[in-house]
Amino acid sequence: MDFRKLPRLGISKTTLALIIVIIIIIAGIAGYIATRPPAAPPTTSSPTTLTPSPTTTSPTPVVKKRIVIGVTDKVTDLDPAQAYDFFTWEVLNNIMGGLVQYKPGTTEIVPHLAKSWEVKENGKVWIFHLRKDLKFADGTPCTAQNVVWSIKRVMRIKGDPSWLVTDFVEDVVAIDNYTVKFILKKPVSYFLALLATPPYFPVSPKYKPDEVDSDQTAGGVGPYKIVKWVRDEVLVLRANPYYFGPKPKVEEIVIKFYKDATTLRMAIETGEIDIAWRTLRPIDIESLKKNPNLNIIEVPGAYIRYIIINVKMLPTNNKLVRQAIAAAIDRKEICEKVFMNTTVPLYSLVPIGMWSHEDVFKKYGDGNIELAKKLLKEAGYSETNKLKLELWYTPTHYGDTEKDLAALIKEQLERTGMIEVTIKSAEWSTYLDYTRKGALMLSLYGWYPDYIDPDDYLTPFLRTDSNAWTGSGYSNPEVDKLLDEAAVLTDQSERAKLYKKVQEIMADEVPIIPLFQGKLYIVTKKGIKGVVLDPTMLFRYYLLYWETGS
Amino acid sequence: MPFKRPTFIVSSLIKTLFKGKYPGKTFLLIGLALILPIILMAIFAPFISPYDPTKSVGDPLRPPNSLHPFGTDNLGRDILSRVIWGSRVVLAVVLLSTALSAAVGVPLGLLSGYIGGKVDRVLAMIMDSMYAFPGLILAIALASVLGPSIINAAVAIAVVYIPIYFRMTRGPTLQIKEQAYVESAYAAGASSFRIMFKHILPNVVPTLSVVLTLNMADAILTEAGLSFLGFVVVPPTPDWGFDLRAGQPFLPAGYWWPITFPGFFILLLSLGFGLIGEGLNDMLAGKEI
Amino acid sequence: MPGLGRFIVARVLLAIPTILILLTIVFIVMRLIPGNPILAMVGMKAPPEYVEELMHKAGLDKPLYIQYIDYLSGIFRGDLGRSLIWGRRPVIAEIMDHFPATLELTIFAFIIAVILGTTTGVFGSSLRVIKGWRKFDSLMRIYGIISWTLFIPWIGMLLQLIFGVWLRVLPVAGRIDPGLEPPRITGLYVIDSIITQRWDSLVSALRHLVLPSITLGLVISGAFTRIVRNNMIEIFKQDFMMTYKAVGVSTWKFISAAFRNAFIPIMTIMGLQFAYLLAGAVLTETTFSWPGMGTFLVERITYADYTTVQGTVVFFAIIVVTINLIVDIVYAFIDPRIRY
Repeated sequence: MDFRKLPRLGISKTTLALIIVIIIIIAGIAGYIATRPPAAPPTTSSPTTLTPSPTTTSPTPVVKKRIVIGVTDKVTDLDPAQAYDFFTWEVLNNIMGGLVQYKPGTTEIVPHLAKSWEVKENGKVWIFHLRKDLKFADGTPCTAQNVVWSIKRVMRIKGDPSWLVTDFVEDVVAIDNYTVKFILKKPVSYFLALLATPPYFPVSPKYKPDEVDSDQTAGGVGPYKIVKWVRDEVLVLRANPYYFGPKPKVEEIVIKFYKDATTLRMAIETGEIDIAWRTLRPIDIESLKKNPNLNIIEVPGAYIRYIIINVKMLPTNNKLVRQAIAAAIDRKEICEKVFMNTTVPLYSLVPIGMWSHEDVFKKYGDGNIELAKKLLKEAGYSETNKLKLELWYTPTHYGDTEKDLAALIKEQLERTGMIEVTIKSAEWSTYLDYTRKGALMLSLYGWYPDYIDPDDYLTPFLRTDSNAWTGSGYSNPEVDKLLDEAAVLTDQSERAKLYKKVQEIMADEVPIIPLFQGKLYIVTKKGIKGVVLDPTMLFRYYLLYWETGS
Repeated sequence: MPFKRPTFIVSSLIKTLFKGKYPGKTFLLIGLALILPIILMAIFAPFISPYDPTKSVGDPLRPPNSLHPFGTDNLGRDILSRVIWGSRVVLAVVLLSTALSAAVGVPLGLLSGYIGGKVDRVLAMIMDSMYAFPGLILAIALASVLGPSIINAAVAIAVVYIPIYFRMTRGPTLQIKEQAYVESAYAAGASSFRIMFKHILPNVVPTLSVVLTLNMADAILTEAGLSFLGFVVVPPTPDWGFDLRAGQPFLPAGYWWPITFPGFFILLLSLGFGLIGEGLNDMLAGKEI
Repeated sequence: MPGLGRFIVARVLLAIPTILILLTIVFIVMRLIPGNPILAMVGMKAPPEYVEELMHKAGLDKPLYIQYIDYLSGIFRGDLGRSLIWGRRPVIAEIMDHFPATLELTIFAFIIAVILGTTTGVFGSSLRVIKGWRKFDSLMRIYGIISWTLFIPWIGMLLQLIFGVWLRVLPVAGRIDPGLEPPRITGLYVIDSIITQRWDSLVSALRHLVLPSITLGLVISGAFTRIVRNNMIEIFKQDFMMTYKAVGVSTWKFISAAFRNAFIPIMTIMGLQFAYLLAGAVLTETTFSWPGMGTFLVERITYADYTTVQGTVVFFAIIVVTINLIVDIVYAFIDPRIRY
């Protein structure tokens, strides 16, 4: 570049060039604005007359009409035909409802949109009688035809969770305006638990009939309705005046979406939000416990963590090896060191709080190095002939504590002096792929239930074919028989007996090692009541209220 | 005597390095002062590290004290030991990747320039595309395919920097190819390989040394970035970028030491190489301007 | 202008294969990642036949070369496809959700980098040439070197620690306080809040911008220092500058004259640094949980969401190529010799 040319040509050339650049930039910006998708459609709302909640707890009555909840979870799709994640299901449970629901605080199923039902043909045909006062958020009535339309829509669209319907339901018809008949493919004793899940919720006719309607705010038959929805920013709910059930005590719920746990933590600390729900890290919970303005409520969640063991691969095809691993693991140390006691040790796949739960793995103890060494010696290993294991984890899907979990387990196993562990990792989709192919020797996994029933905690892991995704290769015909039988029996105590037997077999053969169960944490400002958490892990906004005088 | 020459060259080189007056001297020496201790730290890690970096040896999250000069992390591991051992990972990835990119990029550039024609233009276009694209993103994509490991990370980073070496050698090659003396040498019967070696390569060497060192400084930052995102090591292997990420959740609670020390060493190492590169640049340019 | 038109056409044509090459590289690399997005979404829960069905519906079981051709023809029609996970939203919509955040961050960081880099570069070089202040010049150079060797996450975290945790004056993460987002016109919170006169939004957006843009801007400024300094020194060496000096114009006039002449090459080279800015944005966004393209891209890579990753890379490539193109054209406009 020869700069000698410039002065002779004068300044005007520079100015000219600058003008060109500016024109191009303006053209670019104009083009950019033109390519943006239209803004989200305005929702039917009247401007709020409520004042924003102050950051101090001054007792103005207006404040009590609103609660602000902060989360880092995302709402993926406001459409039960596609949504398949925990938090979206929670939101759907507040703006919609199913024919049956769980009684808050329990895992008991009670009538909801349906007031009664009959079971025919040994569990293959179910007939539900709907209430006559069901209305959607805009006042239009909800009839049996709406229920059938919604369920058939889910089956038609074939979204992610649709198998929860299509795997079980052969057909569904409206016998009259208030009667719905389900014909199942085969008898299913836990059908009511399935019915309580969002894919079975009736939705407003405003939903697009043949495709996923991710940002549809029309909702269903629920205690709240959506008045404002800005993806990944804010969701505002108002009490639904047409709801048949008890009106929520808090008129407006605002859900704010934070980008990460640190900002969420700071938001609850500064009083910017009234409730912080889930995803705070153990270190954050520790610090917040010391805050005098906040209440920390903890309940056992239904969320479990475990190790999947490949029983076809060397050397884990040897039962003694698997039992030795189960003995060497110290769940108490894991919960304390990695999770700062925000989790509890778990000794079965069926979580604590669920009927039929048995602490079947307790017989191995925690950090039982003696037993582990004995079993390893029996299997032919020693200090000079070490057992070589590969432990896999996935770095982001389960949070950033995962790497510490893997590191600690490695340390625990190596305390026997006879094991050598190599840690490996893979991102989520790769991780699942390798697992499915049976390529992983030991892998760390977690599980949220789809429906609240011991079947959802046992069959996907232990039953031949149902456990194909684990790649573990575990197959025991006796277990299969027990699980299949329990799936059709209707008597809970009979089923419990069968499930207990399954757990006992599992503890002997050790295809999976349960590690711990997550606790749910909700951090609220002092004065908020009505927080009811239970194994369903559904946060019911419609039960919340402010204590008077707070 | 034949054996005297190499030692003589080396000792006089070192003498001029320190005592001589040349532009870029300060940068060069400061840079060396920064990287040499770290390189020694990496080599002698087993001897100077007070604890096993992969095991919990103390209470978790203790601030720097006499037992643990850099404090402990959330699993009770000694941070000083992790920093010392972490230098091995960083240097391994960086040296390996730089060597790979140079080993592939330099000959490729020479060949492409020499062959010329369509092949050269196509290759140059591919290299330009890669060069224009943000390197870290390409490295991330590659690393997620290959999976986290030191070798894979080195390969991913190497690929990102190949275009630099390619461009560096292709340019001069194209130029020199036209020169008369090359043509005459060719006419006189010298093999093309020899021509490339004798005439082109020496022209490139000075620039190469500058590019190499500056590249290493950049590669250190890229490695730290990849490690920060989780693509280089698996626990419990210590690595500076990874430990930085691991320490971040504890910042709001006021635990500052898990991140301060690893990050500081990243700075020292990349700054060191950067200063060496700039110093070399000055020295070879003849004068400081 | 003879040849300028031809030059522009030639460069535009050259840009197309560049983008195609990048696209192909990304396509291949993404498909090499074991696993697929369908699996990532439902693999654990749904029966295997169901997973196969969903994969078929997404067209993932077609042979690779057909998928490639399908994808290319889509690109030419301007259709970047739909995401393969969650709500299967159009890729363009997802990109547009996240791009303004990155744009806002990079603009502010760029401004800071330009200010820092220009002042250090100009004063370092000028004062050395005019007043012989060599040490000052070296100091400015050292500033330049230190700043580009800084590790972005580390500097970001130190700033978070000091200003967010210890002093509690600035927020440490996110782009704005949730609920204060201004109505969306351009997607840039600062501009939107000014246009709609939402002053609380403006304050919140600016407060959240401070630390991340200083972090990124500081690190980029190092390269700018060197560019400015080198170009200024080149100018100073020219005959006409010596003439100015001999004639005895004031120091300030001297410096600004040199700067005016160096301005175009400086700006053009700075424009070429844009690729580095984007790479730096990834680390900055991860450190500050800034909801931009960087975090978005990394997240989608881990879920193997092919279409979104490919679309985002194409998007990045188009931007980088376009900026380089503008820069080259401006350059050629100034200096006709470049147009070969």
